[in-house]
Amino acid sequence: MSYALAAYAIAVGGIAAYAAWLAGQRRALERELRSEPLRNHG
Amino acid sequence: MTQSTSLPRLTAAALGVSALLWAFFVWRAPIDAMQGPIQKILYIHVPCVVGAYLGFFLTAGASGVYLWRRGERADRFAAAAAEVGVLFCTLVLLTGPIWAKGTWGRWWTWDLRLTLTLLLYLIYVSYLLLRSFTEGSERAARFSAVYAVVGVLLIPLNYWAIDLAGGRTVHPENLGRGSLGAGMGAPFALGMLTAVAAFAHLLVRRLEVGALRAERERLDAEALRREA
Amino acid sequence: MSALLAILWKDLVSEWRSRDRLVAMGVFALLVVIVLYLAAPPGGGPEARAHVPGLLWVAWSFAGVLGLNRAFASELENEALSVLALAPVDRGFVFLGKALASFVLLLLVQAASALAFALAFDLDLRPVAGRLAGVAALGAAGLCTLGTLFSAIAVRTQYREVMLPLLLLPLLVPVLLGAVRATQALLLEGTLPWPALQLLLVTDGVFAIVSFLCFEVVLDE
Repeated sequence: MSYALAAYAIAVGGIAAYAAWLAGQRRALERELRSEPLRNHG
Repeated sequence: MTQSTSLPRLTAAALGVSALLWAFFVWRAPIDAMQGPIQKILYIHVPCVVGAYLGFFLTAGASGVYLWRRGERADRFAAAAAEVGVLFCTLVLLTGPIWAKGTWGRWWTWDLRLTLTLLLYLIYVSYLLLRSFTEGSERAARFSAVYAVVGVLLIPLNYWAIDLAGGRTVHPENLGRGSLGAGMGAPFALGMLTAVAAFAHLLVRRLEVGALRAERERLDAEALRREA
Repeated sequence: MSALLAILWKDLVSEWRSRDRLVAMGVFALLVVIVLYLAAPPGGGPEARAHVPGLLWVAWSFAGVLGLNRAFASELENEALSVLALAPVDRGFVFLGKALASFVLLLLVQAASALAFALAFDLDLRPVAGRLAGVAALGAAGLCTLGTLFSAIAVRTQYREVMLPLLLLPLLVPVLLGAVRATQALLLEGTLPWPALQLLLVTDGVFAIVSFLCFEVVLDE
């Protein structure tokens, strides 16, 4: 039974972790791109 | 440059609904007479397999389109599909042995399906490494596209080869409709649906990130040119 | 066509002058034989011999990869990769020339190491020599066609020596499994199993066609 739970935890956890990582990347990139015009005129 | 957020919301919603239904039916699913509760790994393991192969074929398809048309978007799609696909493939290789250990007592065998999946995983990883380590993004796109297309052509050959080497049996066969007991059809089908929904959602998010990265690279290149 | 021969000739002649690929492959194969012999169950009986087909192909494929890694080395060092690409020749012939050169080198190494294996494991290869050579050649062909394509790819990557085996080996599984199966039947029973040969032939055909076609894309400079 614990095996089954472990498997589910890993799978769902893995997908959630990846989604979270993607979200983090997205936020960082958006932040960077927003400050871009300032950078180039500096 | 703000992206429209309607598509990710759509896929997230689809995923949420599908996942809830799936979880409900998995919870309610009857416990298998022979294997016991561990059999329920079926409802997460097979969906992950779907995700893995979906990614592989999407990557190969996008690579084919890239080789034909050389469009940057096809290349970005291939990269994104490969990354999401390799995630699912990792999950297959993690949940599968857990199930195996629980039922047959062994983490691994050289059964046809396991070996094929392992090979798929290696090809995936090689693809991603090739993308990272090739100098020049246009070259990386070209090289990885060739690799992906060659890789997909190999699937039938690999199947044949491993079968020839006697890698059959062991893995639970017969995942046709008839073999699933009563009450198992719904969680199984919903699992597949959820896998596709999860894949779609992750892919959409990953494509966003890819587009943003491309934009940043473009700006960086422009800045470099202006300094020169 | 003459371009094919020209490239083949150039590669083989430059190889003959320096002999670096050949020596590297040969020494490596020999080392593998020695190590595998030491690792095998002692006594050299039928149990040890049962492993020989697999071990043989391990030695051969590693030597092959070693040689293929260096297939474009001279062009890379002399910054001549773009010359290959820009030459007014069908790129397919460039591919064939390179692949054939590697193929010839690998055949030589295979022959020498087969001999070493026979001596180490006390095998009599004479009754199956011809057919074994055929199987070895079929396997080498698969290795060298796909291997040349990936070598051209790998030479442009950051960790090229690692990249080639990484790219090549998973895709080489049909060739290796077919070849090992055929070699196994040959050495242990003296027969040549048709299914394994079939797999080898089909795979070699697919590899040759695919590599030939894709080489264009890969050598674009």
